[in-house]
Amino acid sequence: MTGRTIVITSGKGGVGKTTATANIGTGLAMRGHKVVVIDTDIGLRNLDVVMGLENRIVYDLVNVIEGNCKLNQAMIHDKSQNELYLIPAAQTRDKNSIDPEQLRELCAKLEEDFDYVLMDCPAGIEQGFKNAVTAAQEAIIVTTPEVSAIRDADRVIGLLEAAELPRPKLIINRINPDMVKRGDMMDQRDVVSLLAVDVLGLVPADEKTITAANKGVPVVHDKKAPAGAAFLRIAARVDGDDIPLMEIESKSGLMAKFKGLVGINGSAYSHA
Amino acid sequence: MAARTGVVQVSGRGSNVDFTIDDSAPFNQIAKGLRDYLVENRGLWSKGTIGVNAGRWLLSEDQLALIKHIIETESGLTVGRFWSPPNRLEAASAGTSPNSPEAQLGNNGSSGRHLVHNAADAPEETSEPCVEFSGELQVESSSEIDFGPLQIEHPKPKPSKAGSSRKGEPTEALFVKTTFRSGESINYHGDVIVLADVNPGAEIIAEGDIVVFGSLRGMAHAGSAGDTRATIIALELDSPRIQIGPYTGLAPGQKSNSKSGSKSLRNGPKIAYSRRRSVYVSPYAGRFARYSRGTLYDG
Repeated sequence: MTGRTIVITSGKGGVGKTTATANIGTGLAMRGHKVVVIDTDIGLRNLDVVMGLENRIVYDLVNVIEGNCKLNQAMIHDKSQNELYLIPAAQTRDKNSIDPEQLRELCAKLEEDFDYVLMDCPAGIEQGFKNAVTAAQEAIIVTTPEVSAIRDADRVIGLLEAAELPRPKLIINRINPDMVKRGDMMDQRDVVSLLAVDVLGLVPADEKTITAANKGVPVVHDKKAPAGAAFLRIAARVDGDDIPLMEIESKSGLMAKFKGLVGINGSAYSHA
Repeated sequence: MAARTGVVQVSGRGSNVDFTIDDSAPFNQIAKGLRDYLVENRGLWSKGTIGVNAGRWLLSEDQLALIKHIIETESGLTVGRFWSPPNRLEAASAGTSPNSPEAQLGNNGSSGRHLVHNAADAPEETSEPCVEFSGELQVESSSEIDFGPLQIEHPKPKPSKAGSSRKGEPTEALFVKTTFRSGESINYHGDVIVLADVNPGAEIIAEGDIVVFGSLRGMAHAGSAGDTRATIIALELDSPRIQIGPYTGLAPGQKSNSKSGSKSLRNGPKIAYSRRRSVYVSPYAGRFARYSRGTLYDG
């Protein structure tokens, strides 16, 4: 089996990389795939918290790479999904504890047994970012419709292009339809035309995302939550399903409607 | 991917020598590998001037200067010019072009980490002589160009053409077909044409004119060597700051606060030019139109 290694990155912190990783990973596992998620944010680990697996950590990523434990000892089995595993980050070390080649080797090993290897990338573009990006074969960019997040996403896309990863896919997170309607928030079309990349999904701002993360149960389990449904569709698209993007609307609590608007090739300029 | 045996591989074909550098290695490793290789094989080199093919590398001026320095001190060869095969910037997939007359550094660099589209690396390939605005772009067969920043050390082969296009002689233009993203920059000694967007946080500095067939939202400086007749033309111009020669223009008021930042300029092609020591922007009305009543860019 040759799995796909995907890094989830953003540049800016706090836009929802960890949430997206947990939810896409869970979503893919719900679709019956074997998935492992790796927290590469060494020193600031929190993917385990969002997935509710904090109490089960014994060994971590650095232990594996340094050979202090076996790979399967560090893989934590998810509470609800049979085929979902987490490799947590070390909390007491820093990003320089591992190097890109080591992480690539680890991913290569995991690709043999898993369909998907998802890496939660740290914020920033320093060592931790380089580790994760070098080890990955594909990339998903998470941004929010804010100027600062978009600027950083743009920078990261440039870095990914230079690293010769195939065209990254974009998730626009935390869209507030009321604000968009009032003209107080950037429309997803503006974001897409600026970043000129394909859109993987649009995720509405949803309180349930936060409560779910606090409980350690990714929101994707809750299909009635707008964000949960959005992440499930994203997981399906990652998996190759051709699901049209949904316009996020405010009516009757974020009703999603088929409009196919941005089209998977939303960008006005698809050079390169 | 290549075995860690060495970052540099050299192969020869007759009088041609190819340098191939592992592109997955970080730059400092490459620099070290190159130096080690040259030292180890010191006896192989004779005097002469070589061209270095920068391949798909996107290197900064400093990095190019370092490579030049390493080659020249360790081998006694003289680096005459850096160049790239055509279309490197365009697709980043063009390998090394086979028709290099001399030694090439055919590597595809540690690009991931060095993202500076620099005058240096950029110019080579795509620089095609570009005749004013007639739209004619011819590609030289070997498309070899001297690269800007280091030129101080070598006399330019032809008189500097930066900004001299006005008389109608052909000028060297850099043709870029990928989006300029935040953090990327280019500094070129001729005209720059971008067939994509220039995003906020990116910068283009050109001794000649700048033409953007897309949205210009980053920083642009035309006539960087002091040419006040240089112009910047863009299908949409929404830069916070533009410079023409020595003059700096700041976009008037409240821009970038309009949530989408780009709405304000959805109104057609613009030209930026300097008059009376200030920078003005007008709707573009053709290359030879007289621009008089532009918007003053004074913040």
